[in-house]
Amino acid sequence: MSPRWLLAPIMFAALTWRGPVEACSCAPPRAALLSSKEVPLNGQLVLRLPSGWIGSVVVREVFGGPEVPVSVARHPAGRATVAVVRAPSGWKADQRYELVFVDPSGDHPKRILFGSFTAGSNKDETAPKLTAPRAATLHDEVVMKGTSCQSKERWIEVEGQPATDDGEVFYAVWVAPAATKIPTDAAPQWILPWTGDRLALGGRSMCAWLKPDLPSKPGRYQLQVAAVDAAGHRSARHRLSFTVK
Amino acid sequence: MKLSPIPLLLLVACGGEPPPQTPPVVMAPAPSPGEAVVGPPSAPPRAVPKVPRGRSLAVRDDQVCVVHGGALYCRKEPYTSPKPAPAPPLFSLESRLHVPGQVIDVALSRNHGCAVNDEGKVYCWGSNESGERGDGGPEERPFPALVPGVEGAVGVAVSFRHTCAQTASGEVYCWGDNWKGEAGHDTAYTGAAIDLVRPVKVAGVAGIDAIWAADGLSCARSTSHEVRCWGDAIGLGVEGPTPTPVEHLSDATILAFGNQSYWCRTLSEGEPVACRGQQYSAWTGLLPHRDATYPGTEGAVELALGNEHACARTSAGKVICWGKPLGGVLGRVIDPPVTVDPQPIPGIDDAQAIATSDYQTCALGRQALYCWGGSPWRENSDAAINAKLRRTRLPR
Repeated sequence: MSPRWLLAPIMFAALTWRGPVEACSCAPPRAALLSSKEVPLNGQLVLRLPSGWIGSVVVREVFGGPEVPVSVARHPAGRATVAVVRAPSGWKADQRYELVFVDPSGDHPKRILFGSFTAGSNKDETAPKLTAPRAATLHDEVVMKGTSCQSKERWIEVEGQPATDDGEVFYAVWVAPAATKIPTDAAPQWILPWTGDRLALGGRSMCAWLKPDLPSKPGRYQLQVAAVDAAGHRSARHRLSFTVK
Repeated sequence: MKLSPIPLLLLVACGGEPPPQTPPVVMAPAPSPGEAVVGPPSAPPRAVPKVPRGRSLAVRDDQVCVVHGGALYCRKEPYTSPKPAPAPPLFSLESRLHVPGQVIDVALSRNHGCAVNDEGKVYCWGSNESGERGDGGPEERPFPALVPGVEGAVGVAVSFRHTCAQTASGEVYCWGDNWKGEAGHDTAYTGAAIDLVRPVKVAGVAGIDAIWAADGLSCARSTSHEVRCWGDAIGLGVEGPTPTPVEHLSDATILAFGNQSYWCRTLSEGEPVACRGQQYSAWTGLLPHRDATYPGTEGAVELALGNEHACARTSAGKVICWGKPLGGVLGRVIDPPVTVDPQPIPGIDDAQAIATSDYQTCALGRQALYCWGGSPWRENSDAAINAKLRRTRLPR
């Protein structure tokens, strides 16, 4: 048989193959100010940015006023990045600020105004208190079985009581193999809000914005968690264990 | 009471011939370094199209607004369907929207409305979903509120997501949705920041005497008759917030934009209306770079474009419509899904202004307001009933 005839079925397949069945898709998460719109004078902001947003966050007084120097710590969390924004020299009392994302690509829009907040007139001076959570459990499930949206989802749920504080609290989380020592000054891998009656790193939904990159190699792991208040004060860290099978 | 002798102008949800500047011509300000200016400053002004000043009529699918004696009146229209009931008087305190001073221009989108008063202020009401109202207020506001930051306004143009105003000094300010650059600057707003939307002066245009707004698109014409557009309209070669000259629109004597990326114009008096657009837009046969002309529309002095139909007002006071007859918006019930055979609306020969939305068109005559059409999606909507002319006598 000539090579030409041998190639024919391959050519036919190449021309007619329409690729794999299209999987479900999720709308990108929206940019949002996760923390309160009222911040103390020494307060920090917790933002959610779509993971595709590669650029800088600018904080300025409302309606295009002067920019405020800020530091931004980014915590990638899968489909979104959590950014913690601090103003080293503090905020002006009772001033309203706007949050602008600046895209360096040059395409329109170069700036996306995605939120605002107002600085109060007092400082937050007290740290939050977090009692030791009860347990951390790794979930590993196939969801939407038998549909074109079937996917394998992995997430961790931490059971316990939310922290006490005189303001809003987020949670700093570190995950590492059980034998690893996590330095006390190590930056947290993730900053999360408390949702419902637990702290969840990810979730059952394939469209959850929070999709932390969790360990997959079988073994024992540790999860450390601390509460972080609106001014960035941290509670004591608590250590929990979980197993990857 | 008598209608003001000032000729009344069209309003269109998305564009029609907007009001020329009042006062008519102002010297273009000196450009700042790096700022483009529309048209050479030395170019003599060309004949401005024959259009009356200041729109006195605005329409959307469920409402009509009329400016009478400097006051703004808005009423639900069609009042009921399918059986029209006696509507409340249009010219009554009940239907008056309070705008301080004398109203000199009005425009309605399907979401919101705006009016300009003789003090040069812009007032808007309705939805603020995309910041189109420009006042930073709540999502819905039934009564006109001042739009801060615009002074010396003489005209306003609206799409359902954004608004532009022109000033007596020939500047243009836009606000609202800007994801396509239709507000003429580099910042877009997410839903969480709508309260921060404010009018922004559009750089790169000056000496403007007319503006238009359509979905995702804004255009302005200078006294030297150059048209620049910004936003997104591939057929116009426009993409982004920088005002871009559109040569083939600069020769238009009358110009209007439809929301579905199409536009119509006349090139000189006595010639038929010519339209262009994206292939997916409005009616079949429109192409982005070649005119489709409509014999029978010669003598048009004003155009009003809905999503899928067009109407022209002629110098003889007739109103001619063509396109898709959905909801009786062509004033007649026809079998074909679309007609490119423009026909006059029977019973109108004194039109002074026209305005249209997607499914309703109104004409302001000397002694009456005429409306026809109505959304086909309303419960019990009947195209045959909607297509009948509804006549409201104007106060003497």
